Amino acid sequence: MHLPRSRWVVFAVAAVVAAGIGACSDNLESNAACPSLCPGLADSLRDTVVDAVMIDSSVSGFPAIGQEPFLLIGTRGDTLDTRAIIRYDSLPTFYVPTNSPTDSAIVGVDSASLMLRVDTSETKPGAPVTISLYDVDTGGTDSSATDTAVAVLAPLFSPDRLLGSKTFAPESLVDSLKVPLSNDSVYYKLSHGRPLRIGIQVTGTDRAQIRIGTSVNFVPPQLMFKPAPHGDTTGVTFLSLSPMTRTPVGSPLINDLQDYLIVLKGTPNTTAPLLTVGGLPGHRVYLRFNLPSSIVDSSTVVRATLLLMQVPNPLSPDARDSTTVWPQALLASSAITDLGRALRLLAAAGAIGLDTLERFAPADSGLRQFEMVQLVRAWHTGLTATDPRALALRTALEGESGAEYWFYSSKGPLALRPRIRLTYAPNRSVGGSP
Amino acid sequence: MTTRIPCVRGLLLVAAACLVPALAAAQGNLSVQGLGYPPGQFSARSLGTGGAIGEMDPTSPVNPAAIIEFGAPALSMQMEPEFRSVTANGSSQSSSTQRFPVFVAAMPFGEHFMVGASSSTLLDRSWQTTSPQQQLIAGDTVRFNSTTKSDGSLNDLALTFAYVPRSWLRLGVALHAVNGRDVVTTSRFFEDTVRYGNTSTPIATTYAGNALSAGVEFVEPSLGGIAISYRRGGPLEQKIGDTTLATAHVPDHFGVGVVFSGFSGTTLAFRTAYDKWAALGSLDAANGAAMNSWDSSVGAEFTGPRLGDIPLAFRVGSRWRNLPFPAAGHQVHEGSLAGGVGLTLAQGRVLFDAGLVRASRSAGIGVTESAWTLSMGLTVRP
Repeated sequence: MHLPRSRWVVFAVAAVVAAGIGACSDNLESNAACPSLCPGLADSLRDTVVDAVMIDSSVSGFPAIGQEPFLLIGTRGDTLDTRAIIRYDSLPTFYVPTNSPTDSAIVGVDSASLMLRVDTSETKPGAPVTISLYDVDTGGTDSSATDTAVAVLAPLFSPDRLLGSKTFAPESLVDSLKVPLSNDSVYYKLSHGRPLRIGIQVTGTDRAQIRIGTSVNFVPPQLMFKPAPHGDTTGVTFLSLSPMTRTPVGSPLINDLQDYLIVLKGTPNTTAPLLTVGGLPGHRVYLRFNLPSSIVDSSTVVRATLLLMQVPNPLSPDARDSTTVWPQALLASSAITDLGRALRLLAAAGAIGLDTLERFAPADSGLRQFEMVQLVRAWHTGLTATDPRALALRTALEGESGAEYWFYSSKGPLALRPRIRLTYAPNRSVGGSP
Repeated sequence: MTTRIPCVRGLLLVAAACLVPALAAAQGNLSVQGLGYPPGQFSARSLGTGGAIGEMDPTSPVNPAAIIEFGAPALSMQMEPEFRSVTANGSSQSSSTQRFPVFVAAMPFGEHFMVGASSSTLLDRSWQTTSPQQQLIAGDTVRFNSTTKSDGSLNDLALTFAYVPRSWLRLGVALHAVNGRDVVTTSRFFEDTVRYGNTSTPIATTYAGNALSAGVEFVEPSLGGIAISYRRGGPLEQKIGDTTLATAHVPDHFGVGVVFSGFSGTTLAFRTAYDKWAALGSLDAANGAAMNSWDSSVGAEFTGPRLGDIPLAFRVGSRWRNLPFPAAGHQVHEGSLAGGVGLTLAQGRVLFDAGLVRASRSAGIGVTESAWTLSMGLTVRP
């Protein structure tokens, strides 16, 4: 192809212009002449520790009943006694036999059992563990508030209500445990239209505990049985039922009581001026701050650290096992004055840059630091709904572990109270933003 | 009526007033000290001759009388990337900046009168430096990079009137608004971003001033011409928000250009100019107040061969000058060699000019700077 010279010139011009446009991006960084020709640090960072806690309080009852992702069932002597309640409020009365086009009435039950999904990380092996299943049906036709009361349920764990039990050797405590149930009891419940409510107790000679999955994390205990009388189960397959509750419509607990934990003996309370995090039932800490506006609103905070002095809690279950205490932002506005409600409305762990770099055990002591610079900045810029400048503390295994941490509160000795260390740069921006 | 500034705000303003010059004065380059680098308000065509023909070049808004040279409605614009390299202590670092330094529009009214409007960069203040810092805080050594970035310029907006009373005489006057905005942002980027939050603090400074200029050209087509221009600077204010930080004057400027076209196809040119940069007074003078400077150049333009129906022009030139803002108290000298080419396209309706400038800068402080500047201009005469 032959092009006239003038066309080539036009192409050349276009290429030069394109090269110029291609160089449009600035690369202004130039440090070769530093430090002689470079600006120094305009101002140094400043650091201060302030007693900024206005309100601090521990509130128990977390997670809410039925919201536990795992249920820690254990009998730990003086420190802990917890039981699980699993509800099968509606049982089938018909089944479809294999190769049959029609339903058949259930006239008997065989091979009934409860299949538990176990998180083995919290199992404390060392001695055999016995899992006992009790009939904890209170006799009512529907759920009521008293059905979840410890005082009502605890007496029902009696020998005359035993539905079945099995002892597991330490090496057999694997992730699926099958505990036999009384066939007659299960059949009685389904044939009489009664709910089957199973209470689970774990006993042993040494720190007996297991942690089982729940409906919250989609691995609830499964009720399994063959819907046929013993000796007449040829061709009959197992039915597997997930927990189900008949909580009245309109109840706030409508979806929560399929499986839940009751605490007969919780982690020890203290009367000392301490903040409690974790334990069973689980505690959260609410901290509201009054930060000096001369720093927070008129400076750029580069680091904000909540300083808490930990008090050893030798009475805590697993007192020597380390775990994490999370600082979390509250989403509740100042319109919510009930601290318990406010503590239920938390941002996700790790949101707004909140973090802790430490893992420590309940029996440890010393200064603990929780980083919260992004949250303090968010308070300043109004990016969050947190009108009250507040923070919550909770354990990473809340409701799933008995670990309970103690910290000095604002009523503790002066030098040991919660404080905030602020590192900041004085603001110089008075001319607007670019 | 007087307004009382609240105490805290007043203190902040005072602090800002103290800090802005300190931050802006030093910036790791020789050429952009103080309020910045003066590109010269030259077009690509002028830069190809080192600026020697600038006083009589209509696309360079230096001499108000020169726009009459357009002879027709015209629109001219320019882009000018610069690639710098600074060498100090045996090590070099490259950087680049993009400029759009000149925009000119002109419209004739009758045979003897022309009105033009132009925008040109008087001082370009784009730079960035980063230096590692550390500080001991509560027993911890905190490490971070401290970055200072300036993004801004002073621009010369001019409304120009030119008149041809005689065929050998051209006159022009221009009203100038010298405005600018500069944002100096200091940032800290911490090594440990879990514990520390990075910071970025911008300080925006604005400038507003005015000036008046006049120019004259004496032209003898067979020989060449002489052009003279003078700009009288008016007041210039530096502000943060609505608070005046400092006042000064737009620098006066005096320029003379001589063009000799007695040889066929060749134009020889010489130009010199004197800028009273010291009129900027204490504006951003933490590293030394601005210094008056001469800016001189010689150059030539040759009519080249034709490429098909496209006439070509080639240009060479040399320029030497002092930059207005000292580095570490020493005036910065700049010498440059330039070359360029001009093409007339679309039957004379489009002019494309390209210039390449190699500049060397030094201040006798052990730091040298060199730069390649590629200047491209497009003039359209619809």
